[in-house]
Amino acid sequence: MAHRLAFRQLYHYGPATPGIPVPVTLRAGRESLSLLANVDTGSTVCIFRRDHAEALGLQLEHGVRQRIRAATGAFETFGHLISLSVLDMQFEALVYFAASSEITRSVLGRLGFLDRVRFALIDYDRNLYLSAYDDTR
Amino acid sequence: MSEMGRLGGKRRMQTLTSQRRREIARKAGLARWAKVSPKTASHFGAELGWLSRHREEYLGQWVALDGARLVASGSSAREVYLAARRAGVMVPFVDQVQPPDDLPFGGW
Repeated sequence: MAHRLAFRQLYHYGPATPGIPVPVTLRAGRESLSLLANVDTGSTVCIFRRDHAEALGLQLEHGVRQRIRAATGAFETFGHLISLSVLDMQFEALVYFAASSEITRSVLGRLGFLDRVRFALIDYDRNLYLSAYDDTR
Repeated sequence: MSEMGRLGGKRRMQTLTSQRRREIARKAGLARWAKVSPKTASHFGAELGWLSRHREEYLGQWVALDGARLVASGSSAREVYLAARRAGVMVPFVDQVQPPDDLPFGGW
């Protein structure tokens, strides 16, 4: 049985990077910046670098403390409620910033991103398809 | 032979017309070929191009870019972000210039 899906956006992420990077804009109050984050369906939450929290002027340690389990151990993060824009979609989401500057990856995981969208990937073509979850057009 | 097989792989896909790409996507039955916003499709292309061209020169530094234009560079993300805002760039692209990945990433 075939299943058909329709998406609002197609993003071609190109051949130059090893991950699945997508453009992200973080907004906290009146501060905003853009960065690239890798889609990671295995990550429970969205995690960004400490440096980006500092750039936005967030008081990192005032956020919700949360340890994150990883393949080789665990690391500390702090959660902040911010505005997260991915391509042309915007969400208010609790995202996590690594406490350590040694964590140099930013990832878009399930809570705050994947649970807000409909998402498909054809990695062979390096194409990512995306719609807001409630976008039924 | 399948449609994809006749095309001979993904690289040849890039030379096809948009109409042909839509036909292929429809026949694949996986997804409708979505209309691509030109702004979205090229998003960060200029920034990524700049990073690729200047990687050696700025390795390890934080940079704030406005498209393909370097607005600020320095040792901290906050420093280059503020410099970009002072320069009138309201949403700068802020990244640390990293060496090319020599090992594959295994996820968290």
